[in-house]
Amino acid sequence: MNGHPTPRRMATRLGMSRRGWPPAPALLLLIFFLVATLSLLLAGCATQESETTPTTAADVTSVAETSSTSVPSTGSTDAQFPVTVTDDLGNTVTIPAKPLRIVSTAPANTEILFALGAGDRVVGVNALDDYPPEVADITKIGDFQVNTEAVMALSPDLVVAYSGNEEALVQIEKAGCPVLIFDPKNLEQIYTDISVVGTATGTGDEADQLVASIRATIEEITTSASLSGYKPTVFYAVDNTLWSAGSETFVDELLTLVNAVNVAATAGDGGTAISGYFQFAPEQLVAADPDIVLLPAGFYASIDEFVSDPRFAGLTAVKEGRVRLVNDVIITRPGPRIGEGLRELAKALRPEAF
Amino acid sequence: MNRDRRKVYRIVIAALVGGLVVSTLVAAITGAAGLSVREAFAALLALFRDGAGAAGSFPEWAPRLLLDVRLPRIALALIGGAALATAGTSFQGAFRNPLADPYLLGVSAGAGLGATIAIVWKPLESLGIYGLPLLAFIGAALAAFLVYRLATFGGRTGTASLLLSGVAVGSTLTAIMSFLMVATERDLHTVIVWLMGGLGAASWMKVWITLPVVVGAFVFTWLNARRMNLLLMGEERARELGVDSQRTRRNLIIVASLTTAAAVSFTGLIGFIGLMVPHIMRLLVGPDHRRLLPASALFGAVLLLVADTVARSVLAPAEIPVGIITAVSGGPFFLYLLRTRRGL
Repeated sequence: MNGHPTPRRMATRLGMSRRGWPPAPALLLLIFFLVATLSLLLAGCATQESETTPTTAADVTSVAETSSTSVPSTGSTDAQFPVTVTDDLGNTVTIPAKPLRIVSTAPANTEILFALGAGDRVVGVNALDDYPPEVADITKIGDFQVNTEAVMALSPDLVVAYSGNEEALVQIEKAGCPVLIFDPKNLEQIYTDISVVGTATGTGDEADQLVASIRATIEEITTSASLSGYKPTVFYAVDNTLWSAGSETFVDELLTLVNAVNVAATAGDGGTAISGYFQFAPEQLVAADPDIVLLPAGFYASIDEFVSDPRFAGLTAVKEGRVRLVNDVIITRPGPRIGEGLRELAKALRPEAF
Repeated sequence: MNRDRRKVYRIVIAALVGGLVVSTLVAAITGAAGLSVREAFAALLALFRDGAGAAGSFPEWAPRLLLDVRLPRIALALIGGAALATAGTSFQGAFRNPLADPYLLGVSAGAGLGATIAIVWKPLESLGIYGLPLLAFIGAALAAFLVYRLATFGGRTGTASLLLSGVAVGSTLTAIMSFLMVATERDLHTVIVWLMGGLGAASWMKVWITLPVVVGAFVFTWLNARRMNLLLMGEERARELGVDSQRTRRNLIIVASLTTAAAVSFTGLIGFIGLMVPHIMRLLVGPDHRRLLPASALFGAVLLLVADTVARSVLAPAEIPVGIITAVSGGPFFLYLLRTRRGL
């Protein structure tokens, strides 16, 4: 009117408005919405698993095959319940009755449950679970992140979890399902965890036997390792980027038991200890020059990748052919196969003795 | 002409409200635990009647799941979407720039750094579940404050200075955050997942915390709608018409930044909503902020809800971070903008 632009005209000038209506974006949007809604409805139909029957106590049918480290069931009675146990975070949890629908959120916990003979009562496992083979047929409830809905839909009466997913499990606890959270930092804690799971699932006797047998295996390997007198320096690779385990880690404890000297435990200036997991610089590794290098089979298809790396060509272990692959799963998984994990380490140190 | 505009506006609002209802229903029945519409309704009714209701008409876990898990998540998605859209509209109005988004003034970098510190610094675990959102919020608010102060010279804060300051502070904070991420490989996964945005840990408590903030922010912004319209005409003209552009812009930016900070501290960094939604709504209802604001808020809410529902059901039980879904729709949108305008 008097030469000044109205907000509308200004908006057009700034490219913030367009003439013409209805604009194509509106149609595009409508199509997007229809497609989204349709696909959601279809997805909703596909994932439907309406369990209209409330959970009954008579669901223990076929006894699944248990792993080789399991012990025969001695028939625990329901008279042991209710029980109260303490998990690794210090929470006191009461389990009112023998759990028949157990959800495990970590591979180690699943292995423990199966080893104790409670495998047939496990209804939900982690997508990363791989042992024993039976887990392939069990409903998956998430991987690194636990899916609260998936767990809830299974109506569990016990959740055996690992630390790191507490928030996702808050609602489950509120619903009245006992949740045990484990975070073992050493062997003793693994034994405690196994006992706690045993008490919580009514398999206390089996748990005691399992712990005893693991202790025996570890004792045997430790003794034979120290008797051999062989005390090599070892670099244990946690992955393929030179991360290793310093002192006060699980791996360090195992290495000490097989009479090895963990170079990562004294990698600090002047040989001081570094605790926890940390990454080696290539020069550090060369300077440490370990007798043996252990590579995780989960990250390396063969030792060639490491051996052919020009930076490591000068390492004693490379030149004398003492770079070995190990099954890192059983070594680092804090479960019932930890005795076998130690044996794996011992074998990697002295292959001729096994 | 004006009558047409008003009719269009009414249709759009009606459609958005309808979309809100539909998407809420769809979100309530979809998920890792499938429910049919009938089961969902029966379960909800049972909640009101305190558990009574024909057992067998819905799965046993349904009422608990709906009340404790799904409904708070739906509410948080709606609130977060509305917050981001409103903040985006404010920013675009305050900066007179269609490419402005709520993360412009270092809010995302600050929130990211706060969250990373909360995740990697073990001593902070004692703060519990609310430690992370608290630190993320503090980070975002401090960053925004820093950006604003650094760009103010003698009481005047130019838009160009703000943008520059935002980039500077943002990149510095992001650098610190990246360093922390690399230095603690163990928690890397948790940090990355948070950064990509997710509503997985929604709870009613979080809803009650964010709802008043977002509602308050929306009301404040809407009351300033006329001033925002005048701001569009330029500093001089706006001042002639009685608008203290410095103060208005400052207030808008502060409120928008705090709203964004509040939203992202609970949802992680969800992109494109603050940017796309005002754009799309402007095309439909025009640039008048009195109409644009409510339309954007509604559409933002619906959009985030739809995105979140897709994110948690397509690959169930795994969850795609919702920020990826919004980005996937954002990319093609901007491509479309670019091609139809034959370059901005």
